Amino acid sequence: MELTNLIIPTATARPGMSVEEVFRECVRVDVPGIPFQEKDGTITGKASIRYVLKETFIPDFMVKHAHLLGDEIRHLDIKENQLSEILSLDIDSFVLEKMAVVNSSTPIAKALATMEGLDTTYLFVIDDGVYKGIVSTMAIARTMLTQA
Amino acid sequence: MTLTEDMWIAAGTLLCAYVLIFSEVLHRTSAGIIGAVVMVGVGTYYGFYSQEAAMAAIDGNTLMLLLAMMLLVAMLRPTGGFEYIGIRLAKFAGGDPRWLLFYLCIAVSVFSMFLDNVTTVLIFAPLTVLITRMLRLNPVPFLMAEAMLSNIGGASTLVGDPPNIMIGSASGLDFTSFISNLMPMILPAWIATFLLILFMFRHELQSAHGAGHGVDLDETKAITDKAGLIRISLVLAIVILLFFVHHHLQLFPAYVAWIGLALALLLIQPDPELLFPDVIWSVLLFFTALFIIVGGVEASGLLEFIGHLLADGAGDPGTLLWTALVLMWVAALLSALVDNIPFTVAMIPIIAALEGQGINTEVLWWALALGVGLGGNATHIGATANIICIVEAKNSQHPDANITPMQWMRIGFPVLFVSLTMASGLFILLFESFS
Repeated sequence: MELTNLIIPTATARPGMSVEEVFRECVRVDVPGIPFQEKDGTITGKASIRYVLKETFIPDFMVKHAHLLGDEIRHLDIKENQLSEILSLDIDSFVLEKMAVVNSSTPIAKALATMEGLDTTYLFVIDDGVYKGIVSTMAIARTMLTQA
Repeated sequence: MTLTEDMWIAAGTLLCAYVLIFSEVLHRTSAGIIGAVVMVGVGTYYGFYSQEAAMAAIDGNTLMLLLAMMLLVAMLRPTGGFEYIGIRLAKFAGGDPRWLLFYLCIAVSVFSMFLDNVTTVLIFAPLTVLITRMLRLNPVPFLMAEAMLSNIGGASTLVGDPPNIMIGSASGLDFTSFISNLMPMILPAWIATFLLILFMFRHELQSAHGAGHGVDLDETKAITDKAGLIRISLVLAIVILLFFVHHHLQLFPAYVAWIGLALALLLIQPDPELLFPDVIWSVLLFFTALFIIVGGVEASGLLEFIGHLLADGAGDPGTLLWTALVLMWVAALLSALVDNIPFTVAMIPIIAALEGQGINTEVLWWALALGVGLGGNATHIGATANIICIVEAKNSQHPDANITPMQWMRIGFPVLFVSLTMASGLFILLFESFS
């Protein structure tokens, strides 16, 4: 099993791109996030579905006490009229600098260790500054099943 | 007695250290450590201080008491006991904002009397935000009230806030003395503050439109370790009981706290690797540094000199009262503007020096405790609990929940004025019993 066989090519998020465009790309290739690429081509962070949802819908006080929440919290729930508003936001304000990066010759074990260390399920493959794609734990599991 | 070169050097070093601390160019602990190292170096060079004297200046009783209480709270917190109480009180209030405010403030104040009030507010503030958002209320009145009343509650006992711990350690005044002398002033100040907050936030504390929204939180899921909660609660009850009688048993408060810590470690057997990081080491190191810095000033003789200057006013019973009131108000105003700990650490040797001259300093100790305890409410930076509440208010995502420094002061200064005036009036009435 080689890392190069697990790479999923994706588009990158760019400055000024909307949340909707990023989500569409993530859903199209079934990945939790894509890298953020500046105008000069450098990858400087990641645009993550999880982070956007957290920042827009889930305040810290709910996260801290999620285990206590009942089901009758409709007025704190996501409103439908918020959806289009969130999707129209620029992705720039949701870019995370912390991201897991490896190159295409990285062993699978190191890739997994990197993901584990950064508490993520996917990482970006970048060779000499050129973005190649995403490797995720899902892709690793899928390959394990086909090769077993 | 005249000012000597050593005194000037020590004063200059102290001033530089305190400016570095208050300027926040560096974290206050880093600034304190630098100041301590400089004080020992300068003092050794000029011959008025030494490394041995610096070690002796560190108040181990204060540090050990703080350490033990931090660890006890660290063992209590994960059990979910605080959250359980908070949710039960919220449901008991039946959705009425005023009763909710009252119950939450009582809880936070009582906890703050015996436990670190910063941790108490750290736990209650997010829960308060959740409860108030569920009830469609603005969390600001609740958060500000909790911060202010926890500061006031913590000022009533020996262990309620760090300045009182230091004052108790230096003065030898015991836990029961603190409660019996301070509570008659703190309780009315608490009530007055609560009523003032109720009035100033009267619009925000109206029941929300569509009231009837309950607090849909399941308190039974709050307690994650029932056995641990029972054990640690038992230990805390023993510790509090021992605090009340520690003087009769000739036990240091720190030793009492360590007895509790030993019992808790035996009963709960937590993983030390997980427990010890919960100690706020930056606070302990900051206090250590301050003790060393002020120890150098004391070694130079400057504090004794200041004590002599104050002796005339403090020694005459006729002016002792006014000396105490001035100390109280100066301490309060300084605590509003800057950290109250450095001021307390600097004042303690001065008052102790007066005691050495045969002056009844008990009055001054109570004045200092009241001033630094009540002063922190005036500004958003006056106490750490205030800063926590501002952050939680911002994170609440309520449209009207952004507390600016000016907004805090609009509530804080009236609270300070009312509580301090109330305390001062009672102080005058009770003066004879102190002296």
